[in-house]
Amino acid sequence: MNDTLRALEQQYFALRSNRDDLLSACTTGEQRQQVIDTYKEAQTNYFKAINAVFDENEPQIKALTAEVQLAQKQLDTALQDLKNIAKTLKVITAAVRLGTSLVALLV
Amino acid sequence: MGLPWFSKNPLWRDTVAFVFALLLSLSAGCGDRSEAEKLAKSGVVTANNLADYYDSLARDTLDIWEMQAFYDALPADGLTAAQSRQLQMSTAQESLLQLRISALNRRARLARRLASSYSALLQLSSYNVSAEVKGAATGLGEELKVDFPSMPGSSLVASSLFGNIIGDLARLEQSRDIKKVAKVLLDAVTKLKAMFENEEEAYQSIERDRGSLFNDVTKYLIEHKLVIAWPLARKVPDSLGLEWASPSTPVEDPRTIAALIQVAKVRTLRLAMLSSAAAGSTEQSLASLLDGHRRILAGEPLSPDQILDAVQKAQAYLDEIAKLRGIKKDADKK
Repeated sequence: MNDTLRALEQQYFALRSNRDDLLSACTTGEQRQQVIDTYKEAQTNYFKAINAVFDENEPQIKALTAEVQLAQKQLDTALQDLKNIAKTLKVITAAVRLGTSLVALLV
Repeated sequence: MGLPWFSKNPLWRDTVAFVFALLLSLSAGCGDRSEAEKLAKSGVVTANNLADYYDSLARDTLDIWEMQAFYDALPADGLTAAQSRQLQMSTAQESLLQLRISALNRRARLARRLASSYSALLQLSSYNVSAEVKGAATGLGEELKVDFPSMPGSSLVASSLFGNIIGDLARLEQSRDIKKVAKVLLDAVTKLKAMFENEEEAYQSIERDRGSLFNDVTKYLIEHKLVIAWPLARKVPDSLGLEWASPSTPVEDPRTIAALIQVAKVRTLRLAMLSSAAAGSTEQSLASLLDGHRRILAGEPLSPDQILDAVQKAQAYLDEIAKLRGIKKDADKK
């Protein structure tokens, strides 16, 4: 893939840099049309080659985004769970304290 | 004075042995937490730098789009009106550039999500669960002491022992959570780095495209005497305190035009070189982050300096690129 991209890049850049010189050297309208067609085709090929590199990894991007989101969810849950332990213990403490007070009233 | 009663009681002896073994195993957990904090901090800066790099490539593509449209709309000799229109960018070509920008934006978003995950890891690893839970559990132990008094002869206070055990168990759980998520993030960063390496040629090609295109446009502008190109060679007269003979008129001499085009070429390609260096440092920072993950999972100490060094280098290159773009914007304003 990299070699193809490099080859298409070199072809397109060379045509672009010399486009006006090539057009000036043409003697007929047909020749000029040929230069334009070749230049535009090289341009499109290069744009497509860059996108092909990205397209190849698109499924990976989707999977990775889901993976990273899951990791964050796990982290948030873990932190919340840890905070909840302290909270739960405090609630139980209050409940036991209340129970002890009730027992004291009964005795 | 004889031995305390619990030294003879097998059940109590086993309990005390278990508590000591637990405390010993948990002493490593505290280290994990501080190492995980370092890893998380490194992860946040590395992932944010990666996002900045993708943003920079997306901005370059926008520059390319704009400048390509300008270049293709420039009048060329001997073309018919129809041929001039054909030379301009088509809707299909514009869509390809739009797709490229979207792909780069998706990568920047992924990197920012990764930074958020590292921020969450930082929150988890910096949360002192042991102290929080220990305090609450000790309070509960105090309440329960009414119904479950301390063992006779024991110097250990039941409530504080209860608090310690609960606190340490929570810390163990926290340590396990950190390792579990560090493993998931390791997997994500491994894939991200492989993808970066796989796409690096395309990233650098975008930079070369920008440099080459800007050079073509500059060449056209200088050759057609549409700009004052003298500032490109400003350093020489400035260093000697000399004044330009005609600073407000375009360069006419063909040999000077050719020489100034060469200077412009060096300037435009400098951005491509900086971006290439930024890509190298970004890749290095990802590699160092991966090494950090492996160290955490192996229980080895982490040195975040190497990661931060690579990130700082990459960020410095990106800042330099932004500065060069800023110079361009300032020049536009003038």
